[in-house]
Amino acid sequence: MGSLLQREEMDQINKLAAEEVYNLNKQVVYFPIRHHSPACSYHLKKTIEAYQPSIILIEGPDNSNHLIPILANDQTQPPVSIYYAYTAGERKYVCYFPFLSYSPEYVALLEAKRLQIPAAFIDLGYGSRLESLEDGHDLKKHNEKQSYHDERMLSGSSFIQQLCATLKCRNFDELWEKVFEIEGIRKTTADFVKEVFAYCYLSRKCYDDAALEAEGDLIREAHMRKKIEETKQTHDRILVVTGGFHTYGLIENRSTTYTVKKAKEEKVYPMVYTYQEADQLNGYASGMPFVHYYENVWRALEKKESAPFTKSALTYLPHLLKKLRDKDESNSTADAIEAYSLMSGLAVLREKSEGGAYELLDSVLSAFTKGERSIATNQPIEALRELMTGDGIGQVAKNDLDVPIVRDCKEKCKTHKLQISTTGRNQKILELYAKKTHRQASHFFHCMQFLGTEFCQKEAGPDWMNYKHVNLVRETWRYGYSSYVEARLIEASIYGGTVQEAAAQKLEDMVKELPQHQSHELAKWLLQAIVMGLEELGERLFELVEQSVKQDGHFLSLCQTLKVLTILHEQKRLFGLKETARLERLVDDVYYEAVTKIALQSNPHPDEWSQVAEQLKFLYTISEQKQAEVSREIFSDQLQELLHSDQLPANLVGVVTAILCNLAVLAREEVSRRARAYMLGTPDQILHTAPYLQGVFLVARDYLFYEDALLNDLNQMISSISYDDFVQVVPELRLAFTYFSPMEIIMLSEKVATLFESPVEDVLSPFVDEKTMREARRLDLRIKEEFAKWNLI
Amino acid sequence: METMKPPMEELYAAQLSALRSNDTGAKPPNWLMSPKAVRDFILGTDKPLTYEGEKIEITKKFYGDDVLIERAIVTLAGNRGLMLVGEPGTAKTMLSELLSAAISGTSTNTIQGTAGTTEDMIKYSWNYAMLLDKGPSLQALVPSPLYTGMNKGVITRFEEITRCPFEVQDVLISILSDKVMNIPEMEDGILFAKPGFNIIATANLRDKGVNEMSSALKRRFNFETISPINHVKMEAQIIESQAKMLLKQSGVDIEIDRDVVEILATTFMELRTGETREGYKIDSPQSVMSTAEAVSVYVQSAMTSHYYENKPISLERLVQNMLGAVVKENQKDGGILKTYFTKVVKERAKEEGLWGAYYNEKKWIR
Repeated sequence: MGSLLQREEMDQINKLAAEEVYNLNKQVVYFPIRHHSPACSYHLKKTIEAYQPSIILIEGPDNSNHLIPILANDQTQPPVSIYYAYTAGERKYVCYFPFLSYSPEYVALLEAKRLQIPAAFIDLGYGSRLESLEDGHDLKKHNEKQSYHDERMLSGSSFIQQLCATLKCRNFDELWEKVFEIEGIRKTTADFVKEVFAYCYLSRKCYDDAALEAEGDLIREAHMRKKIEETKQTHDRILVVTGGFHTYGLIENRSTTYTVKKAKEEKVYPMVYTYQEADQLNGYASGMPFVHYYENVWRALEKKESAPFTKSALTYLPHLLKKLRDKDESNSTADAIEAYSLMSGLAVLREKSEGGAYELLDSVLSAFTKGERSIATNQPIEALRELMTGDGIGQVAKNDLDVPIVRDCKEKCKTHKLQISTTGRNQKILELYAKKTHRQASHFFHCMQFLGTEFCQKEAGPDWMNYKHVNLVRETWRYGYSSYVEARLIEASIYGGTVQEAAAQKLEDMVKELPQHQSHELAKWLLQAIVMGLEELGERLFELVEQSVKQDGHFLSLCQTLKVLTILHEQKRLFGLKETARLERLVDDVYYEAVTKIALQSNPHPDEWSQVAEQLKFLYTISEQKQAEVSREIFSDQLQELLHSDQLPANLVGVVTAILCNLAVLAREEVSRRARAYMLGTPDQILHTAPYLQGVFLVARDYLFYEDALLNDLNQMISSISYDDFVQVVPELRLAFTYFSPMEIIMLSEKVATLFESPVEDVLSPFVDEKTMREARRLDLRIKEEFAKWNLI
Repeated sequence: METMKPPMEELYAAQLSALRSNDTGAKPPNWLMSPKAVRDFILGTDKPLTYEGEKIEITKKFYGDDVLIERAIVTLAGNRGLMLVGEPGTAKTMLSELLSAAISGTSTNTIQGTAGTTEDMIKYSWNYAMLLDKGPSLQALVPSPLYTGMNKGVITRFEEITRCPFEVQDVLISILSDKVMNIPEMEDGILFAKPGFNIIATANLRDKGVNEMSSALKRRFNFETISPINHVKMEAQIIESQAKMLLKQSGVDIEIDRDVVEILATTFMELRTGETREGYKIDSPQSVMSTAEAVSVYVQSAMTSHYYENKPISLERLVQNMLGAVVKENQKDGGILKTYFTKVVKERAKEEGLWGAYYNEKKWIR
């Protein structure tokens, strides 16, 4: 490193390091670190041993000091993090402060506990930091995942790029590993601190004051300096553990005047974290990559292994082989042996005391890849990367700050045997009708989904809300736990202490916003509540639905409500409904309310025509199931009244006529009589034929088969109308005939064939074959092109 | 002796000697240099080395992935062979020559794989007159490059291994794992490989009609994939240095025109990747638009200009020769080159100096 610099400047830096930074005779010792560096933790432990501090001050938001006992608890297992969230105006900011088992900050906390000395965070809180900066809110993007350890300033400097080229390293991380991790653990602590300080000092020098100020570094350092000064009054041996980038900022003589604006209502919680999220390679600028790999290194260091990196690499090779064999890759132990020997060879060539993460990756790439490098041969290296990142999730010790909803969620997962100790998506298949426990699990999944936690996603199963796939008896869910899920749960904790409570409260809040007179919206939420297994809320909503039905004068809304209630009634066992008598009563009430409004539908809005038709059909099916004669009578009376209206659209005329004929209120011939009336009427009326037939076929397709008159009249109409009218009527007519099944189409063809006295095949085969059609189309296009060329069109 | 193309150990004799005399690193058995010195030989050093009072610059000879070179060197010091794969013209052969020249001091111990390669050519054959005269003996045995490699403990290069028939390739399997060759015709006919022996094979997996390698053979090699260079400046640098060397060898002493090289490199790279530097998609010809091909286009054009017009390279000759390089596989490729001129070159001709002159030569593309 020295060769890059003037010797004099280097001497100055070293002097500074020896006198001001790492001078064990002083009242304050500064220990510069890189976040998540095992070597830093290794030397930090040694420093604590040598210096025997009376207090340890750590770079970390000072509004989270109350969490230190929880983090240092024996039950806590990293990776864990502190979660900060606060709202400024309409924008929401969140930030994570992750701890891995080998993070120097975490090691400092544990050591402080062991030595029974206090430890404290001394940095500005995340919210206060943003609030105090002029452009703070622009600095961090709204709701984007932020890490407390943002290292862009440290690793992005031009000094580092130059250093990488000189030391033949492909990037900053390899450089760091080579100089500070692999060689770092082989140096004395004093030398190690000296070099880390020098490196951080020089990268800091690549930025001017304005850049440091804009990033909020200066104000933070001023705050930390103040805290250190305060501590000096009470303690005589203070160890300060901060990112190396800030060390110089803490010892230099700079008077920064600053005012801290407190962020209002910043939430601070301890929560679990995952290896995946801690891995810098997954997009967060938060320390070192390959977190699981370095954890292995740290474990080896703790066991005082002489070659911890080699040891760590060795643990991966058998795992990698197993993983690859599981995926049917043809890799053998010989490949692992070769990789191991390559690793040592590369370490010698690259002048490293032992092979690190990059040597492991390189050697696996060489020894395990068979053939040209491509997506197809990339399996080994991808699998290794996954292993080196790790898929574990940490654990936070039980505590009062522990968010109850998170605890509840974890307990529920345990009850339902859901795998949440590793990251990655798992599948759960629930047999809704067969097992009660599965129904409960389904309730839990629905609640979690409703709370927007992104914990789970339904892949298959009945969708009651949209009335789709309702014949399915199983539900398939895909789920996975992460700190993201936990963060969302913490946010949802304002609604309640358990997942169900929160879901119920959230739903209730949403219902409050609804207008009372729309019973179908309420009914939909009632169904949602029941799908989520929220019985109590379900009862309250049921009452609300009862009340709103009385206020609801809208025919369609009532019909939709009736539909939801019918679903509930049909599936009462699945949904575990107890008071079915009350439900039946409500179904009757709604049916009555809806049916008595039929006569008012004489002139609905054109957009609602098809919906009204559908609902009439639905009411017809319901009325067929009704035992009481009286309800059927009201239904038919209302329909007759509706049919008398002059303004009734043709498709509704079709529906009503067909229903009434089915109910034997009207004679069967009425259908064809009314059809003839349209077909043989004025040109305007002819156009209504198709909607009318659509209405008829919606309810009763069979008319066409035993009413020959209908077919004859249709034939007559088609042969008599003008070409223009035909073109106008044909799309609607086609639509009307789409209600028929293939079987019925064949039957229909036979009838048409008899009518024309020709073989059935002639009717069934298309009038123009595909080839002719395509040729005609091609010709058409050619003509168009030619016309365009001559500017004729 | 004058040669058309001197081997690497001769071409870079001075650099190799300088590296050897300055080499302090540990050497694998029978290697002439330490792995670090081999890397420096291929990737170059920042400062020149002193050898017999002279400063000798170690030039960069391979451009692309530096880490790949490190892996390749370490592989050769180990138990497995090195397999260099990649598209045609990505300097696989050159790299294998450089490696063997540095490690064993010879790059000529080579098996040139063809569809007609037989097992005899890979292992050994017999001088039949001697065989009849003296019976099976070492005198009557004609060693193959592989035999020589094992016998002397040097690197054996195997060019175009996938061109050889499948069964012939498999001869290597037991030799690579046991490092032993059996000669059943002779009593005590066992040849143990000396330390330092290894194989660098090159294979081009893109060409039609290649023989796929057996997985048993694949297991005995470490694969390194060499990708085409996707950096105009770097490619131009290679074209320049290679063309300079080739022209010098052909006795044509002319300066390399850097602007022309850059145009050539840009054209080749854009046609190869199917994307212009402005980010537009274009069609790619079927022919392999490799750097080696670009070098040969430059050398040919420079030589034609030199001999017929007595001047350094002209764009007219460049386009004429380029046409020959592009239109090889398919007649339609000519159309693709023409479209490239109409769309891309024409647009650049409006603003950039030489591109205008380049566009004027479109007339040669027919």
